[in-house]
Amino acid sequence: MGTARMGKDPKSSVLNRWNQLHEVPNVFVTDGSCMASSSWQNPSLTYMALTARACNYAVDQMKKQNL
Amino acid sequence: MNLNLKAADQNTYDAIVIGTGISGGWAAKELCEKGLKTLVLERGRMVKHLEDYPTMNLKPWEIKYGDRLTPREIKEDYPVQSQTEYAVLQSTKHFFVKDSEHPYNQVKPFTWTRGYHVGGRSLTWARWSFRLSDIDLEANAREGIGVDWPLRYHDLEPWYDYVESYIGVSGRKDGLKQLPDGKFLPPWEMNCIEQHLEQKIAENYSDRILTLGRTSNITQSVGGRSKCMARNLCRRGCPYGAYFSSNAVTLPVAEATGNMTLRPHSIVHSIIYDKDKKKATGVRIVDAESNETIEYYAKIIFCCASTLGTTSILMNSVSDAFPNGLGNSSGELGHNLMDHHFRIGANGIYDGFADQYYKGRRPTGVIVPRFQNIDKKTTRKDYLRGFSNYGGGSREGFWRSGEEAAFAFGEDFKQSLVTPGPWNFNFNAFGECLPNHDNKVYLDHENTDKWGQPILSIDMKFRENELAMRPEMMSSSAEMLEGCRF
Repeated sequence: MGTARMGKDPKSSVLNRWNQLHEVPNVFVTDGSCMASSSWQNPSLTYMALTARACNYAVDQMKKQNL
Repeated sequence: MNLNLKAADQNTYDAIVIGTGISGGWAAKELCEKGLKTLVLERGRMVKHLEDYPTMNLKPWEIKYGDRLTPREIKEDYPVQSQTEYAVLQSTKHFFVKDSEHPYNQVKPFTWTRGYHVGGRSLTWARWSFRLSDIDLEANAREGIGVDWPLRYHDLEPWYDYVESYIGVSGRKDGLKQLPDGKFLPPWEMNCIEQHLEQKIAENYSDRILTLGRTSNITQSVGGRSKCMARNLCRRGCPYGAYFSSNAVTLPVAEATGNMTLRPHSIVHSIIYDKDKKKATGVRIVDAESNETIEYYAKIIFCCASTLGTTSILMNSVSDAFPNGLGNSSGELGHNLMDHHFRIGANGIYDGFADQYYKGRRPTGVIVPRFQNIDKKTTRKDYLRGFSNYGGGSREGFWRSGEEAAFAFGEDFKQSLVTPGPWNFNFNAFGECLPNHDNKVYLDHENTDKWGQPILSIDMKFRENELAMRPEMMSSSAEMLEGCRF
């Protein structure tokens, strides 16, 4: 986990809150590399939730002609 | 010219998904259901639900070598992944890559478990399904570690509801703030020794409980999949589709939309970036069978190739605009690698309940969810974050008698073969790992794999905070069992 972490600041993180690359908005990363911390929990359910959330956002942005 | 345009057109989709594991399967389902023509790329071979599970119905006596890897296989093919002990077996080895065919550099020892095939590790995962809480999502900001998560539990909650309801997660509602409850199917049952331990822990402690695991093994039929039959042979692929895998759940749904093109044997080399449009335009792949290089194009790209798979692809996607990897102006790509730390706990034998047994092979266990650093009362001076104690109780069986049988004769021998042994209970604690910039991976361009791709170097170790919590991971496990007269 963690090697393309999410964060608020493009200077210290790779992905934004929608799992988009800060610098390349039509590329999304929704596997374990997005994790900003590991927690103790098995993470797979969180990957599923983040993926579904990011897909919903991506299609919404495509409809608005933003992607 | 026309021919090239036609070729480009044929290779153009609305979306590309890289990987077919837990994340990739979900991305494929969601994007296809929303009407996007989606190319789904998988670096390994095809694995179809049911028809490509060759060992799912084999009896123990039909599997060679007592289901264990041979010393030669361990030495030649699985020297790293065999260290997981439980996962790579004769009956499951076709769902794990051979270490020998997919080399990487262990700058420090790092056990990398991989399954390169359609479905990826969704076929062999442990199936425990837990939500993160705000205690987890706020911790970095609160403690000044790494970077703050850019979201909170309320952002994730509807999506946890959505995916849990869809896949089916069995569990008990415990009302813990460190482990939010979900949309659960009925929980599995505890056996008598676990009930006993649950009761004693409730009497002996005010800061913790023992509860059932939350697992994607379904206790009721969900979406046309039958309920789990408690065979506990999940990693062979399930004939009932009774636990979540991409193969059983998400990919068939994506396929049924008619919008998915699934392409196995497609190793993604890099993502193509257009600096004028400031967008990615597609991906470049190497066909694993023909070694041909092919480009595919799409409006959006979802990277779901696993932590280290996706990271390798992004690092290999270099251009004038991004000489250090795609989207890596921060310099954080490849850094802050985290893994859970475990393999520490306690085991106890219980003298009693000799007249009780259990039915079936429950495919999950019980757990004492994290009880450290939850609030002021539970704050530890020696470490941040915490761990949970995973466990399970059972009666020792034939193998015990088998060992004893070496010294037994006649009536005693026969009796020992048909009598279950004493109850035992095993705790294995599972701990959080802090992000650290110095835990990193990078590409080794001097050494390439058989497809000419640079191999990965992994330089990661557990540090002060992880090591500081390990003594208590063991002592708390032992103490809970001793307090229960084990």
